[in-house]
Amino acid sequence: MPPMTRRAALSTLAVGAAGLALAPAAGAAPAGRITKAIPGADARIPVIGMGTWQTFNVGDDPALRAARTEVLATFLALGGGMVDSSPMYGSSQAVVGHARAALKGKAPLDRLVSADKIWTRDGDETVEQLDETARRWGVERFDVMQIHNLLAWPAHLETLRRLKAEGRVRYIGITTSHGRRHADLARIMAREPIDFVQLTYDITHREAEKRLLPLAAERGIAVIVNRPYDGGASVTRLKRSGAKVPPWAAEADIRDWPGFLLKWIVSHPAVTVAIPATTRVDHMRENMAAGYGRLPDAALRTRMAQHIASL
Amino acid sequence: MLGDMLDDLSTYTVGDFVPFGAEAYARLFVQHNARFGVAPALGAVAGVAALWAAVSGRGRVAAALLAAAWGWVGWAFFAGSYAGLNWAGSYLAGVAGLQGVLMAFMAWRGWLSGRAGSGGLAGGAEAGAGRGIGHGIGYATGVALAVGGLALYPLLDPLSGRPWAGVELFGHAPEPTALVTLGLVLACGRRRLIGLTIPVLICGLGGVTARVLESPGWWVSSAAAALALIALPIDALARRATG
Repeated sequence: MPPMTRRAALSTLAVGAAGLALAPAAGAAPAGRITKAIPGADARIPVIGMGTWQTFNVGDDPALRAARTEVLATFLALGGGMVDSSPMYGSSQAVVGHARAALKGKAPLDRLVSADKIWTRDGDETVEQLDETARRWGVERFDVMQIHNLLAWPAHLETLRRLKAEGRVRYIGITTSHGRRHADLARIMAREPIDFVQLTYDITHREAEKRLLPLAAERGIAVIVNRPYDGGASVTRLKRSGAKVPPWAAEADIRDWPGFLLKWIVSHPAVTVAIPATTRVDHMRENMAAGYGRLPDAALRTRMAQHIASL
Repeated sequence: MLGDMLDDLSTYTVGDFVPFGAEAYARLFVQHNARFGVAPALGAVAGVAALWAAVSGRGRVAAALLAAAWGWVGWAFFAGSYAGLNWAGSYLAGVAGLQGVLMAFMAWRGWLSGRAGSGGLAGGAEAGAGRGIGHGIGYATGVALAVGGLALYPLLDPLSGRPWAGVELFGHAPEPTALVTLGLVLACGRRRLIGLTIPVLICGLGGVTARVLESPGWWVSSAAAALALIALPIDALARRATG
């Protein structure tokens, strides 16, 4: 493993001096916002986060960067917390960094829960890539650092554990998507001390319910759900179908299809946060509305799934 | 290990390899054109010159212009602009650079002869040399593809609502460059697979990207590449029969 860099050492000191962004008292939380506890930690995060796959990959185009800054501003203003990205997502990290810089002093950036990933086959490049990612975001430390799609996970996990001990990252995790490699992920969750796992789970793709979600609950691992709209397909299909949200969904303060789909996901007891991605402020408002009010109970969740299956 | 990798790969869709949205992709071409000033216009002029050179028997000039165009597309577009949105851009820059080298090699060897000569799919003797240009399905299809790449393909996106400032032109954007290359190599080349393979791949990649992004003319470049691949063996057989 490479030695700790000067930058990492300085970052560790900075973390100690600045305190932790996720401290429970940080910022004034909007009333009625739904949060969930991170298992084993004295911290809670809002159940609706934000992904950046495709949506924040706009290169250095000034107009599109300004539009994405507005999306992030809306997210934060409406009580959003986790923003997730990856080195795999083109310019997304840099665009998040641009938006953060543009919003300094104008938006509650202390609410932002930074989540990113290590994505390299070289197990010796963990620190180097984390440094580059931190530079792009304009941060010195990350709240959540994950290993993207289990890539070279044994070596990266060892380094991330060290970085966690040094205070460079607060939580460590591992990701998959599209239902890939669940057996491998389950083995890692069962054996390795990780704080977060990220996986795909939505009302029509429920594979994670069989093994991964129960295991996460059993092992005290927080769960980030990616692709909550099946890459946008499910919510687009429902909106275009003309089908109305059933009136009984109002029991959980659900008034539109994005709320229906997102509340179904985050109401699973093992799920901590869902991270829908969008390029549009109006869609961000819809997403964030799902982070308020009541969540469906088990009976209502069953009814919701049956309703979607019947459409 | 290999089995696991193949199982893993089977869960991917083409959309998983397109890490940007339609809006960002359209703006990419606007930014790309603006960044290089008169380069897009020079590219278009070079494309017309390449077509003229190819049909007037100056194949080395045409091949040299194609080589320069691919080098520019690799450096300016794939490595300079596209890589900002897709990590694969640096690899595609290498692929475009390789096509530039291949076209330079064809120029050096005189394999873009300006004549409808070929010895078959993989080239060979100048079976059709001396038969002159203006004959054969390969020539007709090739010239049509080249004209399409120069004059029609650039209209595709502006006519479907994308900004004119993002017009894709030969020598500056990959797909029109690929279409003109397909056309000229098909019409006038020998050992044509050497010059056709990478442009076909670029057209396929462009088609897949456009399909994922739901662009109205997503099928055009793929169809053009398919047309070239259909015309190639027919033309080669016809030349053998008449050669």
